[in-house]
Amino acid sequence: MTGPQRDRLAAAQAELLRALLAGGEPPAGFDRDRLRIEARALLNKRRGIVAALRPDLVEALGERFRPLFDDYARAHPRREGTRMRQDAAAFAEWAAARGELEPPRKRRWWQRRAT
Amino acid sequence: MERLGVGIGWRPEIDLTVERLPGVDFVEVVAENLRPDHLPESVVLLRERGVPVLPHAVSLSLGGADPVDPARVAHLGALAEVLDAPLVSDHVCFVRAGGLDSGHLMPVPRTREALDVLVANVRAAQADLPVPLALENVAALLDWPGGELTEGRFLAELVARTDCLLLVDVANLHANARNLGTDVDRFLDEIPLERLAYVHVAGGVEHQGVYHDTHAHAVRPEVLEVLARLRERVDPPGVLLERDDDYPADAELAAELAAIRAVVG
Amino acid sequence: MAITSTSAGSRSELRVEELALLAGGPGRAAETALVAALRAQAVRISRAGVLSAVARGARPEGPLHGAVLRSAGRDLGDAIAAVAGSLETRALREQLVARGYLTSPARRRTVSVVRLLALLLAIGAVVASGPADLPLGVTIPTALALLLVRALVGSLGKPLTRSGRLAVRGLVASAVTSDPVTLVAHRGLLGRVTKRQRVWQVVGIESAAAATLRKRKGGSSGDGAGCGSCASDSGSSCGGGSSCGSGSSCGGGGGCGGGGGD
Repeated sequence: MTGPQRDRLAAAQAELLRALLAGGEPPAGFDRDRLRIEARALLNKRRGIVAALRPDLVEALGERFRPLFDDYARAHPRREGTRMRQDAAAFAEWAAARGELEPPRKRRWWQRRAT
Repeated sequence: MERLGVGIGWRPEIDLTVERLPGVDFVEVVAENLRPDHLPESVVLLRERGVPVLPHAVSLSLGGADPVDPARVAHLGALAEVLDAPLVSDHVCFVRAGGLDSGHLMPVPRTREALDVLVANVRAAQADLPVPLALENVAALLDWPGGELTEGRFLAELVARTDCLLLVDVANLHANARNLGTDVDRFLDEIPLERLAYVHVAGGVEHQGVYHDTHAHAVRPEVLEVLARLRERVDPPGVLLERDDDYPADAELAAELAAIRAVVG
Repeated sequence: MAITSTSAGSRSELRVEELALLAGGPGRAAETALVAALRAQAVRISRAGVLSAVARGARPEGPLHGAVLRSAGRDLGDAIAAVAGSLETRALREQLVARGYLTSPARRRTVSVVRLLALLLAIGAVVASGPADLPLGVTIPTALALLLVRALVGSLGKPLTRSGRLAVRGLVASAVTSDPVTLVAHRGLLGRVTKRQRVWQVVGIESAAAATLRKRKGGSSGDGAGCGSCASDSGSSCGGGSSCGSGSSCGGGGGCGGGGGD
């Protein structure tokens, strides 16, 4: 019943999200400024959630957290089915792979504390 | 419509604050953050006190092109049952498309075609929910081209075709008035206020001429003014304050609740 | 307690976080700073134990307050560990060394080396008396003398100096009647107030939150024997299996709200 409508709507919505999240072309008919503002708001929200979930990353990266996260986010739009915790973990891995974050040190047995 | 009174969004960080704030008649929980088989102690405590707890979903993506995910609807329904909630809610929006997750409530095109898809999705969700579904207007920073209906007409048609309830967010309405030029009075005149379940109030911030619905700032007087204009037309069954981040001191939240109560009387 | 009057002078020079550090180490200092911030409504601790900063809340002048605010978003146990390991806490400890309340780590290391050497030499003297054919009349007194040196040197290696010990004794005396923050400094959150009541209960921390506290080395947990009666079921709502919905708030990300302007 709603088949063709769904297909057209799917294409339009996908085009909008690509433009906002993955650097896609701005879809026709939208205000360019508003697209920019919306893209930034979505990025801010995503960054804020990751910061709240992983205060350790914010502390470890300090001033670099924001620019690094923004680079990561633009290159890795969050896929459907990815939870925010996974997103935060993926960012940590990405930053570690770039040498921005020390990988978690393995403690030797004599450094371990009995918890 | 069941009387709910004045409430506040329950969030894990402020659970103790919500429990001890004076004059909290009901609360709302973000459905996706709760598990029906493992409710937070604080929520259980509020239920034991007889405080209604309403599940509020953010992920059904009812305005999306994909059919609704039955697992998400089932989760929402299970929460409603375990909380003995009189109703549940989500938004008139889409969150996922083309394999991407926006992480936010995106506006849908206000076209007849998009409305048809939304109506089909809402009916599918309603069929699997044990309680009535209320749908909320979202705050948008951008507008789709080619809109055929005003936001008020779009919601009125949605209610007429699905018999859903309305959850009117006056901060979102203010945002759309500020950002997209939505006419507040016309919106309030066009929507069927007799189907109003309750009202959301939230804080935000104005930045370079654009109102951002952050839920992390104080409620602005303009938003309370929109609430007052709604109150001129109807005595809302409930009004709920949403705060999601940068939680202020207990006294500040209490003052916001008191300000809301003063408007709806 | 006669000690109260004599120690009052030295104690008044010290902030409660410093006294806590002397009494129970960095963990105790962290607990004390955190409870002080909690009571000043600068931070919140949720039922499940998650720490969050109060927006535009009070900003008490405690030396560890910056570290407390930075530890927001963690649960109570992790937050205390983060504050205890912070630069602020290290600086506080160094100041206490410089002011003569704490023995410096270098001196404690030296003392332990000297003590070990004395012990080895004492054993060596007795053991060597056989093969080396030394008279027991010489080796035994030598060994005893070495052991005496070892015991005498030991007091130099104690973590607290004499002023430090006096300050702690003053704290012990005052904690009985004074405010909850002093109580935490004295006994730690896991310490007992009465046989049935723990300190965390007195300062308004919920049992699920207290369950995130760990026993740390260095006596910071007072006489507490773990937290056997604490509920392990924290009811945490954004953890484990639960899916964090699209627009959803997961620990403060902002449920339906937007991302803000800048």
